[in-house]
Amino acid sequence: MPSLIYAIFSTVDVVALLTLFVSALMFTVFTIRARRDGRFPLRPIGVYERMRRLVSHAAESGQSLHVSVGSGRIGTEATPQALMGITAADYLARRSTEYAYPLMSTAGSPTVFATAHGVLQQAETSPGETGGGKIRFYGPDPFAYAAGTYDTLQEKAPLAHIVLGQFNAEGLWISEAASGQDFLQIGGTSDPSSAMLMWLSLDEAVVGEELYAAGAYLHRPSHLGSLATQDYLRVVLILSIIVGVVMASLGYWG
Amino acid sequence: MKKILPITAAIFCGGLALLDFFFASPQIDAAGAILVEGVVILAAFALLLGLLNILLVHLRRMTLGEGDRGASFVLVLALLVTAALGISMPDSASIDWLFEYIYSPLQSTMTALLAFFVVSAAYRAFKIRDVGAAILLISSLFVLFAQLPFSASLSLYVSSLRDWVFKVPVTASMRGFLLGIALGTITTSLRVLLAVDKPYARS
Repeated sequence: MPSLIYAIFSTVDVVALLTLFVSALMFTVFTIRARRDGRFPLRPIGVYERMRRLVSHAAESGQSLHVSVGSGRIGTEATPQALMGITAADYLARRSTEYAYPLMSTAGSPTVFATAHGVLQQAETSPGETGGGKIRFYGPDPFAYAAGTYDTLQEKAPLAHIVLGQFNAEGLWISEAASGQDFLQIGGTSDPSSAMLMWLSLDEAVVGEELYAAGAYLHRPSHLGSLATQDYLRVVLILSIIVGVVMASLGYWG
Repeated sequence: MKKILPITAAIFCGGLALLDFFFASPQIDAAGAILVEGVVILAAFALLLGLLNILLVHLRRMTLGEGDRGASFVLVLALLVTAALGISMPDSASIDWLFEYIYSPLQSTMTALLAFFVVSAAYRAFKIRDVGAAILLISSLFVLFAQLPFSASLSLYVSSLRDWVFKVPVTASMRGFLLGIALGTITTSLRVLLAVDKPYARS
């Protein structure tokens, strides 16, 4: 038996397993705390603040909002980014049923389309609610998605265009092609090169890890626990880097 | 039941995928392979759903006269012709012709437009509005200049400074950026794995 355990664990990436274990532990503790104590203090992130104001504005004016949920494929490494696009669509769809403003959405991958379709339909069929949103798919090719989204933006002329999720070059294509239009464009992605290009083009952008805070900032207090975990893990990382640098400088390591 | 079943399935599949990642065992590997196959099949069905969406949206546009009816007609026609050729003659020269002379040039056109979009976006970003934009402009112009072949002949400091810019501020900020993304990915995955975030279940 010990030899079997040794055989299994000798092939395991112990550091990765330990990181996962510590993260899961912190995540559980902070999520329970967030559910018990309510809100953690949050620094303002412009895009999410603006998104909330846009909802009020759309409710007052009756103008539509457009959300592009990206071309990330669920089931690949792009899943977490794609889910943030879905989270934003979910928030806007729920508010759309509440305040009766039109919502339009476009998706660039079949799996993210199916998930977003389900989320929008769910908002639409909540008891006593009507509205939700409509979603369009323009094929799994990123540039077909970009062209289709641009066409939909031209056709619907929304109050604002929210571009949040996983984007590569098509993110810049969409935001820059539509930049001359008379509507606001906000959003972002976490892929470094695309994020920088979209940051240049959008009126307001989230970059990198801020993308993953969408749920906690918009409408899911249960996400606050994961946000706290992210912050504490960052502190652990910073301390590890400092300790590593000091040890290496003193000749104890490396 | 509508809630519990998808949550149980998600936790089970996520746990199994994690076990497959960490442990090298033939049984776990086989189970992981089945899951991957399942994802491929689901993605194929999602694509069918997407195709249906394209057809419905554009047939509706054509019949009700919403948006550009001509573009919708071309899209539906192209979709049906490609599908018909692909199903009836999958390895034929006609399919190759479609991709080589229609799809590829269209894609190249879209890609080529990106170059102009980068320039126009950079032009707007480089307008000096604050200290950050000024630093961005100066450092970008310096790096562009230092990449020129003759810049090294002007002064030795130019290439050393360029190397320093790449090695220290660029690498440091990129590593910070990537570490932040990794933390975000870990916590988002944990949210789904521990069923705190359930995009697949009715809430």
